[in-house]
Amino acid sequence: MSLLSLIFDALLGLGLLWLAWRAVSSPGLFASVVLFMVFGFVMAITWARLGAPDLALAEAAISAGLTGALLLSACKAALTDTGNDNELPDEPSTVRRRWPAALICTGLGAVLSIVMIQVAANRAAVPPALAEAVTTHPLDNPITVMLLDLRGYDTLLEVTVLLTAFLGVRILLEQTELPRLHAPRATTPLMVDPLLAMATPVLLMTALYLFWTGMEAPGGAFQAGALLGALGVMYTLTGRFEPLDRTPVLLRLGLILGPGMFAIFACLALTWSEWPLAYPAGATGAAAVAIEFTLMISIAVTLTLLFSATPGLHARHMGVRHP
Amino acid sequence: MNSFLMSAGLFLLINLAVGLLRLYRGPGPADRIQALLLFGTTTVAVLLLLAYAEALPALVHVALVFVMLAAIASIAFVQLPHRTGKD
Amino acid sequence: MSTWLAIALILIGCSFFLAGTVGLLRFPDTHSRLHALTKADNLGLGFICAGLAVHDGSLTGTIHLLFVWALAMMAATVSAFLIARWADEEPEH
Repeated sequence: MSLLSLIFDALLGLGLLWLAWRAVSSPGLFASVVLFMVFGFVMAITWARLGAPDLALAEAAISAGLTGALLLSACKAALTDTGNDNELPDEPSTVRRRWPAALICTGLGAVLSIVMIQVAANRAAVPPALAEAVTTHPLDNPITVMLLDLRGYDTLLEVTVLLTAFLGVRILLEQTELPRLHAPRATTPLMVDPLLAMATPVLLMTALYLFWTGMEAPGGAFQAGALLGALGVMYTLTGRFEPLDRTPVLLRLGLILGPGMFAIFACLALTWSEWPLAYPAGATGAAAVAIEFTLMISIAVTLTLLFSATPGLHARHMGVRHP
Repeated sequence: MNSFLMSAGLFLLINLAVGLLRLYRGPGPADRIQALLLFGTTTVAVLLLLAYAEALPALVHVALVFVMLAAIASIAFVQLPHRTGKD
Repeated sequence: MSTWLAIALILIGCSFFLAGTVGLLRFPDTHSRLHALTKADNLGLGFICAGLAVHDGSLTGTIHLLFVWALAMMAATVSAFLIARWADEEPEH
């Protein structure tokens, strides 16, 4: 078993390195995109091997649902825009910057590896107070305990980063003439309609399930939000969401719902405790569910809007179909 | 049983590595995206095998997420113009 | 007994995956490769799901695995169709 695992892991590790290298160095734009998507698959298997199903879930939802579609759309925009056959012009400046970049990345990787090896060697030395806090916590999933309670401040900042990223994209959209990434084909191909009709309830159900199960098993707001975001991507790709030039009020509310509620909760906590973000005694579960739910909504809305590269979206009236 | 599941997973992983050859050769984009289809199915199978080999039932959910989103790549792919490089 | 059945089913599944890969590598044109790939792979996944369901034995586990297989077939059907039509529309060269 151990030799088998070793071969399995070696193949995974070498495969990841090779795929990463080819994705960067491959001459064709499209081939690079496909290699990067395969990289996402192998990465998910790697997280699974490392015993991190939470990360494997996030990797699956983001690489299969968001990054792949985003890169293919960018590929389309590049091909349509330049009118070039398949190559983006290889600017000499990028070639000159390649070696310093490789050096910096190798150095950073070496430092990280050294740190990680030391952490792994001291694994037994998890502070006892932390271990006790996780085991006695009302929520059962240690990852959720970390994200929402013990390191809640980090999570609050993380969702703020996501919101800031969207604002950055908005500013870019205002200032530059970016090509429409995803203008759908005039006609939807056959069989996509039945697929969407079936995928919508299944995806909604699975996202809610992942959100709910996140309290005690791998899952949670990020995974569920990414899955809902992927559903939004599907709707955008097939033209069921139409781009708008300004963000409707409802979408704005959706964008700030998660970070806003989390921030309000952080301030409210000062009334029952001396620390911001402290959970009220006895109501930890309910408060965590409420915060996770709002985070899920905001993550889904942000990811869909980021993908569509438009300020806003609205659902197309599906009553009349134009064949 | 666990080492059998593990070796089945290893076999599929090697299968995936061999399939990369098609991705490499092309010639057209349709051939490359097919290789992606193969890798998607193989990844799902490997994840299911790992879920039982390592007793991590959550990995079945990971496989579930992958199959649910498998069609997105194809939907995005068919929007590409036809002169996508024959490289 | 059920262990041997599970092993046999998973082995059959692996052989279908092998067949799919060989088809993907050896067949001469896009459409025949698509034909080899999507069918063989999903049959392989089906056998592996069946083998694991026998190994698992519980109802919830079996439903999960069945669900995975059913969704995989849906996705593969639509993908194969979309890719084949895209390849058809491609101008001759």
